[in-house]
Amino acid sequence: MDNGGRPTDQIPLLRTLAPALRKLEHGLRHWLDTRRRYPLSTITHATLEGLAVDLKRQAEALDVDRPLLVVMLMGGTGVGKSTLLNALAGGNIAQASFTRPTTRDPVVYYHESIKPDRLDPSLRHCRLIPHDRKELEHKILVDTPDLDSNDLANRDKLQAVLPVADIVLYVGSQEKYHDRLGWELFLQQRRRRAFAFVLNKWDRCLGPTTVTGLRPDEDLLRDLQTEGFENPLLFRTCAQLWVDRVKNNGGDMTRPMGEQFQDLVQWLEMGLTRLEIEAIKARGVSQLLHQLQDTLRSACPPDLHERADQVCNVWEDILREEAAADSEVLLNTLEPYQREIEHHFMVEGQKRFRGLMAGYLQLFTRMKYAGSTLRDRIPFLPRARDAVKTTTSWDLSAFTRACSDAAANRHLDARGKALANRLLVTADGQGFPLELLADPVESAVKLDWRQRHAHALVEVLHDVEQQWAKPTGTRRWLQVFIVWMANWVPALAFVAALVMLLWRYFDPTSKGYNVQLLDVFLPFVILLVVLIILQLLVALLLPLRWGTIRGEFQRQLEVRLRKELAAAYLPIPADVAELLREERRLVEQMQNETREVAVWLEGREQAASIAGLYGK
Amino acid sequence: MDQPATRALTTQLADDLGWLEAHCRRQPGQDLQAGWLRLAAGLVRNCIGPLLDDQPPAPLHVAVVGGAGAGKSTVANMLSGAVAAEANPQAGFTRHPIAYTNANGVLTWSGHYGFLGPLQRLAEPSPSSLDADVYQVRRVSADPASTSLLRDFVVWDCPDMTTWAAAGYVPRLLEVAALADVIVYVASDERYNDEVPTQFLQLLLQVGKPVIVCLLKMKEADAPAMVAHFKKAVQGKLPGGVVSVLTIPFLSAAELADPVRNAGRFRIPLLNQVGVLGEPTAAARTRTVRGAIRYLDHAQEHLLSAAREDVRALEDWRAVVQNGRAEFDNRYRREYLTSARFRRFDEALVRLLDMLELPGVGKLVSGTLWVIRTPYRLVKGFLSRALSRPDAPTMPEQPILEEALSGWLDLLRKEAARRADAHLLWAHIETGFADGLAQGARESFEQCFRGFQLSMADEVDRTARAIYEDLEKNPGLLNTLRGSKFAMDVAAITATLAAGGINWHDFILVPLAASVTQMLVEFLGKQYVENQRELARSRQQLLMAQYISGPMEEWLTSWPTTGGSAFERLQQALRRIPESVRQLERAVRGRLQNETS
Repeated sequence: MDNGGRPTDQIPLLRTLAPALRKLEHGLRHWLDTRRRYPLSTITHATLEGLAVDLKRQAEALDVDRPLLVVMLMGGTGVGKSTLLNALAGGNIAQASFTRPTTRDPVVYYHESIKPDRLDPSLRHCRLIPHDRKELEHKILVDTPDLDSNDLANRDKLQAVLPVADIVLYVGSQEKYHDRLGWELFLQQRRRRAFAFVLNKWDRCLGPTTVTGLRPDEDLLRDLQTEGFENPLLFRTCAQLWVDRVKNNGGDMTRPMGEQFQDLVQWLEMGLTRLEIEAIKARGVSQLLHQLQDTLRSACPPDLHERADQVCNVWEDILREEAAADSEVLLNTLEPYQREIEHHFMVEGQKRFRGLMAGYLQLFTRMKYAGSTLRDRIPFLPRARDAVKTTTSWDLSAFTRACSDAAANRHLDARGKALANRLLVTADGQGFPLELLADPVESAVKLDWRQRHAHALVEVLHDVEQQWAKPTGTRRWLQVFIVWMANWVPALAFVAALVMLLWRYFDPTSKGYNVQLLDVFLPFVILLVVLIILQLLVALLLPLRWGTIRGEFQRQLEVRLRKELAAAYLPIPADVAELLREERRLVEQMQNETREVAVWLEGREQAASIAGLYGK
Repeated sequence: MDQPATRALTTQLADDLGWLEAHCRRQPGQDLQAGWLRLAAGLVRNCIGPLLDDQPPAPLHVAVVGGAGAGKSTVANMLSGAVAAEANPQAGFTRHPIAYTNANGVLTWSGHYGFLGPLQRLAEPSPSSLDADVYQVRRVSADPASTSLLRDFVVWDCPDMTTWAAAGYVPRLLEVAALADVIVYVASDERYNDEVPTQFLQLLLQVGKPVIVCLLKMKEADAPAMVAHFKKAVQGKLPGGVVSVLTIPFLSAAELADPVRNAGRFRIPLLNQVGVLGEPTAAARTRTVRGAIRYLDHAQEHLLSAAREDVRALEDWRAVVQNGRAEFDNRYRREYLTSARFRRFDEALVRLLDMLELPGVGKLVSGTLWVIRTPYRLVKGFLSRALSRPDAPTMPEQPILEEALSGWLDLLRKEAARRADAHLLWAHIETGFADGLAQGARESFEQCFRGFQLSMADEVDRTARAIYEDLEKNPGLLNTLRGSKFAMDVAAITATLAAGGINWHDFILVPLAASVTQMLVEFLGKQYVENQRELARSRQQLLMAQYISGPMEEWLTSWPTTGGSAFERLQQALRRIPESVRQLERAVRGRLQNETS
């Protein structure tokens, strides 16, 4: 308790702590205010909010030459908090009476040298009682409302000022030292502040010579020991006696055995020197920082990268199945329109041919597919209810969009929703927190899948067609050969037949040919025969039927859809994990900063004998 | 009701309430509700039970209750007329109820069925601080010179409700409070406006117990002011029922040591008050029982509100299951029913048209008409081939249903995982999914599906067949139809011939006329069959709902409340309690009427 021999150059250290605390507070506040992906539990959030406020408060309280020590009396109604303060003050400053609850507003007992605006804001509006006692110059005593009466507003008032306390003087009486409400508040606050204990109305604790049970002070000490307070400061007092003595202007009084009010006064006046105050302040900050560290640890997002990889692996299988099922559904929707598609392929395929063959094929195709082009122009024809409306002029993109819509209405929308649920459930099974994935996955379901399916259909149709038009290997040579033949042979045959006819007509060798009228048709007949043979050849060697392209079509569509699905869903877990990594980095940074300040502080705490005020 | 029946009823009701209480204690923040339930259970077994069980009304029970250190033991000593209770400065020393009774006489009252529920009677004298579910009876030899209550009363010294250890033993206090016919509520000058004891006092008043308030430890001069303040600040905010407020100031050691001789001026008014409330005993007991049954009846909703969260969670679960079912039904309709063709109906149409042809000799005429219509048939065949599209392939029914079921289960599982932290029910469902709920649902589905298939086996066939079989069974109608068709044919042909006379163009016009009538008949027949097909579709949807989605919904909805889970017990309790209270009330009313008449 003596301050003389110790170096005082350490003192500014406490003041230099203020900016560090402020910086921590800013960081924490900023982090709390920004949007985060990783959800905080309500309790963690509230704790962090409270810690931010406390940091700010501590920063301000330390940013002075000599910090003030706030000693707060806390306890149930009627235990004698106000009487105790009156006894300490040696006068009637706090109202004390038998009506419960008595004190309704906190009473602040402070040295007149302290300007009221130096007090913490939550204390400024209490009843302020200045004094001129040198021994209590840097200490503020606060009497608080009760914590257990029917007047619940009192409890709120207590909660409002409690965070200001550096030392809580837990006041109990014989009846109330064991009460649940007070004890719970003690447990809630014990990690944050220093605690000393007063057992008031000590005379009642002695009672009749007890045969059974523990004496209250022993009982209390035992409980405190189980809470980790090995050597707590406990004062057994009879405050009323001291108040009465002041009232009677001194005089004699009979103190019960073991009464320690004077020790309490001694401790408050002499025991709490500048060094102790500094140490308690430092300890208060350090407790705050430890709690901050603990809370931040529980608020730190987990590292989910490995989980994300696992989830991706599982999802790939699901998406593959989904792509297969989706392509099947889309293809089934196309099935009724196979003739249109064949027609489309045919028309496209015919573009390779020139001249006579081209004209012939065009005519043939038009006749062959008259039904499918006419179908939608004939009125009153019964149509299926959900038939895809094909436009009269073949519009590929409109057609695929219509198909995609029909498939979506019937199957794919429902499948999409089910897929999202399936993905979420499997991710949950892999230990990836569901709430992190739910939003991105559900927004991926809401992408315009109809449009995407329509695009996929068009492009795959186009690809298959291209593949068909430009085959590779022997088929390519076959195709080139046939096309070449088809482009030249009919014309050649026609010309040859014509030449032959002319030859016969002019008969240069005079063989006596007799050209008849029917012979004039011969070139046309030959041409037709050649065309038909060629067409048969094309149909045989380069077959184009729905059945043959369907398989290829489905394969390509499946690959395409798998890519689309993978692009939409697979990056989600990794993205979320990446976002969390960033948040994690921030939290860890805050933890590091907090740890640095805490380590810096540790030295100061050892400086004074205050260990009894804190439990383990 | 006879004795075994009422015993069964009270036991069951007390059990149900007790189960709900235990359920509340497992959840955070439900301590208050748990207290109400314990008190209600105590009322059933300690108040109402003995009356229906024909127990004698004497002795009555006085319970001394109050916060720690308020002076309960002092008051108990005053009531019993001897220093029997250890007045002890350690707060919360007494941890189980202690009954003080006369030194002689048999303890018939402690032997009745279900007395004090789970509390066991201690055989050996033990210290009051024994922390166990027990009670003990101490025999007191009161000063024979003084008046004593112990002739008509048993005095109970109860544990407190304010210390932090009290959470463990408040149920014992409630058990005795439920038993008591008169309550003496002890409050000291420190405690009289405390929240926790006041809540307890309020509860006792709600149950209809007569309460005598004893204010202790004030300076004697302050007593009137303190009573006034108590009446204003505490009693004014409570429902009525406080009989009187007495005061006992801070007593000296001598007064404490021998209350009969030295504190008579405080003791006698107290004894008088209690005595008045206990006379005659039968009336006092009846009042106790009436209060109890009224409380049970009125506070029922209040009591069951302890399970409000659970009921809400169950409702949420039901809603989620229903959503899943709607989606399931929808998928079945859209993915299967709309594309299912039911080919049988096409065959039925052909059969129907065949049947409309003339039989017997008429076959000749029909044959002729058939030949005449050959060009029409050819044209129609060509056109339909050219114009009709192939049908979209129908996916098989079972895979569609299975897929839809998977979707349903996934939805439920996702919701369960998402809400697992919100309520125990969802956590229960989530663990259910982890060990085989989905498997169970699939098995249950398989069963439903088999039933569905059995009932569907020839449902479509039958409907399709019915189209022509009905006609077969009704020859009158069939013949009328045949006749009208024939008449139409004949009329058309005759009209053609009559209009144009017999000429070469009749070769074109007559087949044309015959074809037009045929077209008409075919059109009508087709419309009819299509209607039947549509009916068959909606019927199949209905059957599916009846055999699969309905039972599955029920199975899933009730899953959390089956298999011996806590929620099954909860539902049972919630269902049974109102009914039991009603029965109990009827029984009590009957009994009390018998007694008065």
